Amino acid sequence: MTSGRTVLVVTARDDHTSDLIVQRLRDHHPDVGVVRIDPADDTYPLEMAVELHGDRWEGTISQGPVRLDLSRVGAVLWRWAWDPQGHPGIGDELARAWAAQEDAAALLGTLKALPAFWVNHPDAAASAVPKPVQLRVAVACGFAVPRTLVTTSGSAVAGWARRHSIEEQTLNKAWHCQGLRDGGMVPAERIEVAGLPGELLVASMFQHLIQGAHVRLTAVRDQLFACEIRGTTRTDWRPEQQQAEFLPLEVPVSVRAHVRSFMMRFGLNYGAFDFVAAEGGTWWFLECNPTGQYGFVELKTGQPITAALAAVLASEAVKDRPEARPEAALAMAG
Amino acid sequence: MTATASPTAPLPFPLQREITVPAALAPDIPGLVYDHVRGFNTIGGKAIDPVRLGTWTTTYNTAGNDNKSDEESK
Repeated sequence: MTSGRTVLVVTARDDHTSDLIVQRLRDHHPDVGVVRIDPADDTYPLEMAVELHGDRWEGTISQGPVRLDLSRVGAVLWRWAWDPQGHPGIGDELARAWAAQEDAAALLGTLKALPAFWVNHPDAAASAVPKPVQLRVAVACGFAVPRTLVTTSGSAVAGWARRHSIEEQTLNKAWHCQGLRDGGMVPAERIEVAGLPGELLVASMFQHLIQGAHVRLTAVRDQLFACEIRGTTRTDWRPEQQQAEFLPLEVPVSVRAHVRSFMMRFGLNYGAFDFVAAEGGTWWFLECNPTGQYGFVELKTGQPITAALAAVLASEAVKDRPEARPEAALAMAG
Repeated sequence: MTATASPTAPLPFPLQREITVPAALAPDIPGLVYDHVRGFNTIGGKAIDPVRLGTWTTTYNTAGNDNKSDEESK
């Protein structure tokens, strides 16, 4: 028997992780419907007819054969939602770009206003992304966070490392790992502080390089899936991901509490966390990606992350939400 | 007087240490078709198993890209 409720998946069509989640929902949760929308997919033009009734938007959004009834949406999985491209019938390039902005404001704005369970609300996810914010909140939530310096000055790095006796254990991590070239990556790396130029020409982040095991923790609300990453030789395991071993790991009680606190502060129901587990048991917080990938973890560990995500979305989708307050989660952030 | 970077200055730190990584996997899968109605990718009309295909086994520059989050946070 169906509940009449829908799980809405908003993501790019090449997001294969969402393929798994949609299939899981269809195969194991027949009580809810599933609608997937890719706002940037211009195979079919966007069609919208929605009206404000009381404090809720009602009506339909269609994309070719896909039709979404807003009143049925009980849960939203929001991953890689790129902006619409503009109606293909608009020939003028500038006019189409302008129309695309209009479509984005209308479509993404209307979807963001849905009073549903979110994984994650895009505004909540965006609030958690800036690394300086993350690190401050991580400390406030009880995590151990490595000493961190942000500067444009190489000599400031040298002085800072000397002051803390970490000249041999300093790493640099770019804010964005995508490099200048297609296929280029800027991994986190240990650096020789004495060899840095006096002026770096770019605001850069430096941290104390903590010795220990790489840990990836995938959080689906209160279900935590952690694994230790072995078999890599670099400071940053990502370039060696293909050959790395991923071994499931118990999460210490204190870390569970800190993760929960961190997610509540930002209003997140999903997060991909990176830690270094040091000798002595401390898990040092490195970062959290609110829309981070988990497919490779499930592949290597067999941890049922897709099943957990689908179950949470399906169970939350059928709950009544008398108050239309999508912004409620955001109030927890900051 | 404020110093300015020379036009011949090196790449900003840390891009000097950019590395090249293997090409994306997902776009090269033959026969991959997105099924708009069912909401997932298929081959020959059947749902694919991304786990077996390993379509996300890189963390960059492909469908399995951590950095495809809106803010490119990784």
